[in-house]
Amino acid sequence: MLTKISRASRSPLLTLLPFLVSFGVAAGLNARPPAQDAPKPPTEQEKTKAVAPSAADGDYVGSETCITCHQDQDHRFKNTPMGRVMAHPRTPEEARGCEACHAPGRAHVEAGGGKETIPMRFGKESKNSVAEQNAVCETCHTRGTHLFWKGSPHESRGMACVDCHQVKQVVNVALSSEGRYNSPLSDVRGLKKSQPELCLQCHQMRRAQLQRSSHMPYREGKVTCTSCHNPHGTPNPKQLIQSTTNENCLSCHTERRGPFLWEHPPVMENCANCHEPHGTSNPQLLKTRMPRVCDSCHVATRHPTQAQPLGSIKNFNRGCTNCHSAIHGSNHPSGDKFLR
Amino acid sequence: MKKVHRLATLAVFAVLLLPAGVLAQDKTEEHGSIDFGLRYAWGDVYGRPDLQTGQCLGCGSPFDPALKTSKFNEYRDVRNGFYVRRFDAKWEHVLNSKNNYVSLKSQRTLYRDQSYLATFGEYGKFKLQFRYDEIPHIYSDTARTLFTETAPGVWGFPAAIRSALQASTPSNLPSLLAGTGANAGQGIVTDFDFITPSIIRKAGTALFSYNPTAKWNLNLLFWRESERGTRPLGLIMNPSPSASATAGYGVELPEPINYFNNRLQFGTEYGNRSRAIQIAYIGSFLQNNTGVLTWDNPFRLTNETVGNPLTGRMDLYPDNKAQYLSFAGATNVTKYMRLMGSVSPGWLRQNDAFLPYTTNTANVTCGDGTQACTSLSSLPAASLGGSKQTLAMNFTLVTTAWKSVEAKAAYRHYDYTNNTPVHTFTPVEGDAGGPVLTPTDNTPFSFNRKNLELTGNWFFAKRSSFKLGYEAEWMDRSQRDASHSLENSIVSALDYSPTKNWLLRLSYRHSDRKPDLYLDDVSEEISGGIPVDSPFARRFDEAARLRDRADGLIQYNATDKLTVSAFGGTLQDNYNQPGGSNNATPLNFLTGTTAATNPYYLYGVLKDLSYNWGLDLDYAVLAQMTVFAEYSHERYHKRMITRYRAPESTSGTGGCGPNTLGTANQGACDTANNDWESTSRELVDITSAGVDFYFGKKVYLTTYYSLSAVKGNVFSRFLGDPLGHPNQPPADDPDRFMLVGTNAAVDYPETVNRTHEVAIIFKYKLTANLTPRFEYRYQQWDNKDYQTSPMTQYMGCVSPIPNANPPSNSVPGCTTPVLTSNTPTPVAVPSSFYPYFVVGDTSAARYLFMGTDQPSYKAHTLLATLEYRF
Repeated sequence: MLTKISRASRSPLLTLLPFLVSFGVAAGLNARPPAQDAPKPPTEQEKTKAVAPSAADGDYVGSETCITCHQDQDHRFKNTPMGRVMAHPRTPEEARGCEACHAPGRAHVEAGGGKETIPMRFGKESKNSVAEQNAVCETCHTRGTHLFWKGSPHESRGMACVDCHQVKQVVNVALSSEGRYNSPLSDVRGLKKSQPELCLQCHQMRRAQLQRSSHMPYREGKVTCTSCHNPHGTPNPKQLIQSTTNENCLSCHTERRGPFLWEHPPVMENCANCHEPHGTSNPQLLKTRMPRVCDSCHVATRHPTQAQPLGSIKNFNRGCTNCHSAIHGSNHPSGDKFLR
Repeated sequence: MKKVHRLATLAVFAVLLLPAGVLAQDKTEEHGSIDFGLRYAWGDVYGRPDLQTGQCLGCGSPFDPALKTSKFNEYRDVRNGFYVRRFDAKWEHVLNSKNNYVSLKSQRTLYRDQSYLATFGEYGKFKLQFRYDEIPHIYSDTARTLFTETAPGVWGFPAAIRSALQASTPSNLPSLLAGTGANAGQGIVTDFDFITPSIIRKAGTALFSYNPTAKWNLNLLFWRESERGTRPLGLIMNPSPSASATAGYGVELPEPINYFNNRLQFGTEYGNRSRAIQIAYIGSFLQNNTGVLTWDNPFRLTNETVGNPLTGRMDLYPDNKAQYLSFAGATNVTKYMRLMGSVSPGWLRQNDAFLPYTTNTANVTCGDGTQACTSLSSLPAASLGGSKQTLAMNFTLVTTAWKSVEAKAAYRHYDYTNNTPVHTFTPVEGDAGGPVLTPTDNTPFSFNRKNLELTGNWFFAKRSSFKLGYEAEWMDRSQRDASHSLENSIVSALDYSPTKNWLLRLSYRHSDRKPDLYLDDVSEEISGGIPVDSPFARRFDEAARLRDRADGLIQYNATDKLTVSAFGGTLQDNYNQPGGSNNATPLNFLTGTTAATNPYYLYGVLKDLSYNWGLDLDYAVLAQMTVFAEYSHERYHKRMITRYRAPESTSGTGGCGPNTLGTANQGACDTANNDWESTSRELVDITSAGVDFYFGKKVYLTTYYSLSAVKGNVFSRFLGDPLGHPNQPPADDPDRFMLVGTNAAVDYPETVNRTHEVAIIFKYKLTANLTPRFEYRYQQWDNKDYQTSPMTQYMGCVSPIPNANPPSNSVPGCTTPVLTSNTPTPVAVPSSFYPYFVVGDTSAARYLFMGTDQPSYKAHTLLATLEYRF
C-alpha cells in the first residue's frame, strides 16, 4: 500500500507539463535553418530530403549505372538481408537502390567517379557527420528496437550505426574472437564483430567482469549483452530491455517474482543491491560475500550484529542462507524470517 | 547408448540437409557450412585431498572427481566423442519464390548445451522462427547426502540412523557423525552417497513476424521453458536461526526444481520516418510442479515435542503470473523536435494455497492460541491472493532546435503498488514453536520511483561533443525505513576527436541522495533491555549518499592497423555524512588519538569504492599477423561499521548479563564500545595476449593466453577499548566490552581464485569446401575459498574456545580448536588439512550439510573438426 505517496506524485503528465511547454516554446523561438558549416545533427525534414527527394529530382542515376563500375560491391550487397529486401522494394526509398543510402549519384558519375563526389559515405573516412550517416539508416529503421534511438546514450555520444554494423559485406570474425567468446545463435547478420566482443571494444571494464569465476553463461554463449540491453536505446535505465533491473532479471528467474506473503523489500526493489550480474568473485554473483552482504543492512540487533570469527555457521557454506534460505521471498505462513 | 547417439546425430543431419536437396534452386550459390569432428577432454579435479577418486566407504555412489561434473562444465557439456560444433546454412529462393529463404543453425548439436535456430521467411515480408536451447548448470561435484527422494519433494532419511542420532548425547554426537574417537571409521556422514546437484533449462521459442506493409508489423511469440534438477538448499528446524549442540536441527538438501515457464507475447507496430507506434501484450506464467519440500529430521525419529519436530516442510516458490500491456510511440512534434514515450501497466498475481504453519503435531497454540498448528483452519486465509500492479511510464523529448546542440528532457515513472491483503499470522519458526506465538502481520511493500533528466549535447566538432545535464530521482516507499528520498545529480561527458585517429571519452557524475526520515529513528519496541531498532543504523540502498563516478577512455586508431586504448574509472559511494538523517556528531566510542578509525555518523556501509584501469592493444604487425593484448586492474573496497548488541539475559549467561545498574531498559551492552568495523577488499587482475595469423587465405592460426587473478579479503576489527572495559567483572559496566570469543572481530582468510587459459586454434583451407580445424585448449582454475573449500557433510566437529591448555571444554571427538586463546584478538589455528582454513561451528553440531564445493581443476580439450562448406 503506497499510502504515503501523494496523488500528485503519481501524475507524471502534470510533472512533465512544464518542461514540455518550455521545450516547445524554446523550440519554436529558436527554430531556424540549419547552418551549412556546422556539424549539426540533421532535422527530421532534412533526413527526408536527403534520402527521399521528389520524383522530379533528376540527380538520381539508378543502381544500374552504379553497377557499371561497382559490380563487386553490388554482388556482395545483393546477398545481404538488406540487399534481398531492396531487390523487391516495398517503398520508393528502397527502390532507389544504391542511391537510397548514398544519395543521388549524378555528380559522382559526371565527375567520372571519385570518393569525394559521393554525396553520402559511411565510416570514419566519410566527410559526412555521424548524425547525417545515421539519419540515412533511420529512414527505414525507425521502429522495432530502434524506436528510442534518438537521445539514447549511444546516439548522444556520437556513435554511428556503422561503428557496429557492416552492411555491404560478409564480416569475417577473427579466429581469436571466435575462440574466446561464444555467442547465442542469432539471425542478426552484418555485425562487425560478434557479441560480446563488439560491445567490449568500448565497455572494456565488462570484459574483465566476464572473466570472473562467478558468472552467468556469457562465455559459454548462452546469454549475451543484448539478452538484457538494447544498444539502440530504450526509455529504461541502463538501456535495459525491461522497465527496471528487477523486471529484467525476473524475466528469466520468474520464480523469484512473487508476489510473496513475506517479501524482502531490497530484493523486490533492486536485485543489484546484492548481485552484480556481469560477474563477481563471490558465490551467487554476490557483490560482497556472506555474511557481509547481509551485515551491510542488518546492523540493528541480535545475531546479525555479531562479528563472529571464522568458526561460525554464518561464515561458511551458504552463509546466512544456511538457515534463511527463502531470502528472495516466502509464501509459507511461518516464513516471516525467510526460514521456510 | 552410443549407437543411439550416433543414429540420432545422423538423423539430425538428414533433417538439416534435407532442404539442400529439396528446396535449393540455385546450384552455384554457397549455402552454408557444417563443422563436425571429434572432441576429447581430459584433466584433473584437485584441491580436495579428503576426497579421493573412488572413495566411498560403503556408499553406493563413490566420489568421482570428473571434469564432466566440475566447475569446468558449470554451464556446458564438454564430453568426449563425435561433435558437431556448428551448423549454419541458408537457402534462398525456396518454394519457387524469389525472396523466400530457409535458414538453419545449430551449435553443440546433441549435447546438453545445444542450440538450434530454424527460420523460414520472406525478406521484408514475414519470418517464422523456431529456437531451441539447453542450458545446464552444475552446482557441485562434492555433494553428498543420505537423504533419498521417496516422492517428488519428499526426502527421507534412514530410520535406524535417526534412531541412533536421537539416542546420542551432545558428547558423543560429533564422533558418531564424523567417525572420530570411539567411532573411528564408522562415521555416519562418511556413508553419504555422492550426488550432483544440477539443473538444466530446455527452452523452445516460436516466433512469427509479419509485415503487411513496409511500415506495419504484426508479431507473435511463444516461449516455453522446462527447468529441472536440484540445487543445494539450507534449512533450519528450530525457532532460532542457530542450531546448538543440544537443540535445533539443520539440513542441507537438494531442492527439487521442476518448473515450466511460459511466455506469450503478441503485438503490432506501425512506423514511418516521422512517427511510430507499438502495442503489445506480454504474459509470463510460472508453473512449479514441485511446490513443497518435506524432509525427515535426521536427528529424531520419535517423541515429537514443541521444540523437536520429526519432519520439516518448506514452501518452494509458488506459481505466479505476470501480465503486461505495452504502449510505445514516437513522433516528430516539430521539424526540430521528437517526442517518444511508453506506458506499460503490469499485473502480477500469485494465489497458491497456503501450507499449514508446521508439520509438528505438538504445536497447538496457533491461530487464536488454541488451534493445532498443523491445521489449515488456524490460518487467517486459505491463500494469499497476492496482487501487485506496476506502471512504467517514460516520456522523452529530444530537440535539435539550437545550432549544434541536442537537448533532451526525459521523465521516467515506475510505480510498484502491492495490493496484497494484510493478514495476521502466528508463525512457527522452523517447525518449532514456543509457548507463545507472537502474531505477525505481512507487510506488502510498495514503492514509486520518478526520474527526471535534462541534458544538452553540444557537438562542437566532428565526433566531438560535450554533454552537461541534471538528473533527479524521487523515491517513495512504504514499509521501509526511508519513506521518501531525493537524489540530485549533475552529469557531464566529453567526447573529443582531434583527428580521425584519436578519440577521448570522459564522463563524470556527481549525485547527492538525501532521505527525509528514517523510521527506525523512533525505537518503540524494547527487547531485553535493548531497543529493537538501532538509531543511526542505515541501509545503504536508502541512506544518504554522495556518489561520484568518473570514467575515461582514450583510443588511438591508426589506419585500422593499430588500435591502442587505455581506460580507467572509479565509482565512489560515500554514506558517512554528518547530519541530516545521520548523526550530527561522531558515534565513535574512542575519539582523538585513541580512535582506531575515522569519525563515523551512522551504522552500516560507510564507503563503497571501486577503481579500475586498463590497457588494450590491437596491432596488425603484418597483413598476415595481428597481435592483441589486454590488461585490466580492479580494486574494490567496502567499509562498514556495526555495533554488537545482545539483549539482556535474565539468567546472566548470555548477552550482557543482568543489568544491575538500574531499570531493565538501560540498554545493557548497547554501547559504542562494542562497535566493530569490517572492510571487504578485492583485487582483480586480468591479462590476455594473443596473436592471429592469416597466411594466403589458406592458413589461419591463433593462439592466446589469459589469466584472471582475484584476491579477496574480509578484514574486521573492534573499535572500542577492551582493556578499560574488560568482559569479566564488573558485569554491570554499561560499556562492557563484548567482542571476545565467538563475538570477536577477526580477519578471515584470503580467498584466491585464478583462471588460466591457453588456446591454439589452427584452420587450413584444404579446398574451397573443406577446412580442417584443430583446437587445443588448456584451462586451469585454482580456487581457495574458506567458505566452500573445506566443506564436508559435518561442520560441527570443532571445539569451542578453549580456556586452558589442553582445552578443557572442547567437543569430545574433535581435535581442532577454533581459537587458541580467549583474548580479544584470538588467533585461529589453521587446519593441517586446509592451510589457513579453520571452520566449523559447534552450534552446527546438529546440522547435516551436503559438502557443496567446486574444487579446482585443470583441463585439456582437443578438438579436431572438418568444416565443410556447401
